[in-house]
Amino acid sequence: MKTSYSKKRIRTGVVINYFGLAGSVVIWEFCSNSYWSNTMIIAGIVSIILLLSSLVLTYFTTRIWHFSHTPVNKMDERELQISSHALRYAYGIFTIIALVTFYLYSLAELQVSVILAGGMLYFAHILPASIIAWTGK
Amino acid sequence: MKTRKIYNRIALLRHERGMTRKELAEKTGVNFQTIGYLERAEYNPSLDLAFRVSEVFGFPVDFIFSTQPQVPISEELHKRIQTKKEK
Repeated sequence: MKTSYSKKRIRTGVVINYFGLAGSVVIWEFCSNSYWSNTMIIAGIVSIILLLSSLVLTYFTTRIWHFSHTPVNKMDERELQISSHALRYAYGIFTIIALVTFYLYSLAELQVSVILAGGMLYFAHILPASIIAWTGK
Repeated sequence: MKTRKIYNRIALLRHERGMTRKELAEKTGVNFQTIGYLERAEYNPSLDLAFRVSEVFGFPVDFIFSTQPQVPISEELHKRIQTKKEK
């Protein structure tokens, strides 16, 4: 992680990224069940822009993404320690969130949409990197 | 298990040899950022890495790493000379 990126800025990026993700999924879920108004289209586009821009600025340019997506034999012992720690927490957090989401969907008798499935896939990928970004190690 | 903080003289020895973090990182086979973390005592190295660092500088591991905050080398040398003189 470059030292020029402050912890506060990185944490802000992580929060914006999750807002972008949640916004995109919620807007899609809401509008696909009702109708697409102009406001919702704009809100959806803004969410996607926030999601993508924060992904690039928070995870790619700071090399945080590298910790959770690099082969084990290309990392040194400190990087391995950081990624193992993040993956352990991410596994627990993701399992609980995914199970609660699917449980609520089954209770509400809703179908899991492609966007929700895609959002969960993105969440599973980004979560270990978010933990590294948040803890600032 | 709570680990103890490991202090070291890496920064001092590296400056003395005119070595950059990147050069030391290449010689020890780690990322240059890991050298920074080691120098600030924010990361405890494995025994293997500690030996690799000691091999680069040509000093024993216990001279470079310690569980106690390390005194300056000049102070330590002075102490050793005084002890020898007293004997």
